Amino acid sequence: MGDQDRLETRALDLINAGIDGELDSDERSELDAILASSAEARIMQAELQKLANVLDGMPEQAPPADLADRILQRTRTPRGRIFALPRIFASSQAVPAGLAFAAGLLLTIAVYEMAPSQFSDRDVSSMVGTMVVGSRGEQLRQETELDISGPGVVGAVTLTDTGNLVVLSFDVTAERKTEIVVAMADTGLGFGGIAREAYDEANTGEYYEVSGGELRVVNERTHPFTVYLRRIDPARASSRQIGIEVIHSGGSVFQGSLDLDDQRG
Amino acid sequence: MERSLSGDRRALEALVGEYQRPLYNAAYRILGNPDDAADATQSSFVKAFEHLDSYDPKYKFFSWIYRIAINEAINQSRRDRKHEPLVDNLAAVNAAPDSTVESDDLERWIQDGLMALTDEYRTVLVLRHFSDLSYREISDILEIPEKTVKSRLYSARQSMKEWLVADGIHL
Repeated sequence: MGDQDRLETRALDLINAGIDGELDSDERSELDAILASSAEARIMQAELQKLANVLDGMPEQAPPADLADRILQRTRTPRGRIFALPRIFASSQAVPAGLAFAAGLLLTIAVYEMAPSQFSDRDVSSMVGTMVVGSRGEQLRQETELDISGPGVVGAVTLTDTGNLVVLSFDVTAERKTEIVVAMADTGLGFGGIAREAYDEANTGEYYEVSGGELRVVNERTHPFTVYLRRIDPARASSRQIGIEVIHSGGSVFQGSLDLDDQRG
Repeated sequence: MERSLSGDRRALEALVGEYQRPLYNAAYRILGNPDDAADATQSSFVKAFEHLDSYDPKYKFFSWIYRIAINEAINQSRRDRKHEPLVDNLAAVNAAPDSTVESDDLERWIQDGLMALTDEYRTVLVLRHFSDLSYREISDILEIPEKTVKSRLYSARQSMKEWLVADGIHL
């Protein structure tokens, strides 16, 4: 029979909790009474306390000096494939209705963000099934459009504010692959999701990534897509402008901004 | 936290600055060597940052990132399993049974003792004694009831005490 078996479970509970500083005053009194009346309990308490003291006294280990740099060098939100939503955003002409619908889809898109590997790009059935009730009813704010024009690139981006969401609808035609940068640092907005109208198996080079308050979308020539930004902390936002930059053939061909103030008044 | 969620690099740096030391120390005690601890810590941060969108601000961030780090360390430990069997290891260096452990050796004895425990027991001891967390905090991190935290801690201490005594080590 071991030491533990000879002591009542209650006594052991109290001894251990006392070592961990997890006793209230009544329990403390109960333990004191046990220790006063039991030599066995006192021995057990002394041994466990000594072990706890040794464990508590072990020196802290300093992490490698370059650990933080290594972590930050590797830190990058993952490249993601742009979600294909054929038929749902079937037409860019139906933007207001599509955006109301999109608001309802956002949580589902976030689920895709968390576990993209669990879904195929074309699997939209579960998205419809988990649509958020009530979001359809959000009132859309007035839209603002920014024309995009530069060497080899022409198009526009439309900003629509639904309240909880800011939706950017890009329709850009380019001669070659483009990189579109959405700068949202300090706006109180966070990346919520991205979708495009049609899926093309051939466009395997398309992807997006989010890092340092920027969303970068690499887009194949002509594929309209929609970006959903969530309002995370509007009270602490220090900037009301979303920057838009288009990089084409290795160079920046367009820079502009969309003003959130236009939408919130 | 909000700035981190929006991908603000400086906010991420601040999180690394705040948590790298405690997470590294927990990983070190679970894994038993500095290189593996650094790898586990690095992987934990990278995974956490990649999945910041899944973090629910209703809950404590430290519990969330600790959970990731502990899981990462335990998974790595299970993958590696490269530490020698403890009893053999200890017997080889225990030249003077029933002696009092010299302070120079104490840390090694204790680390060996930790490594002799099951993952579950080692984890609660590390979180309690090396991360200085309460039952409640450990319960949140491991997603187990406080009662389970208590019982695991008691059993872990008892196992470690008996293991040390069996090998002639008197603290």
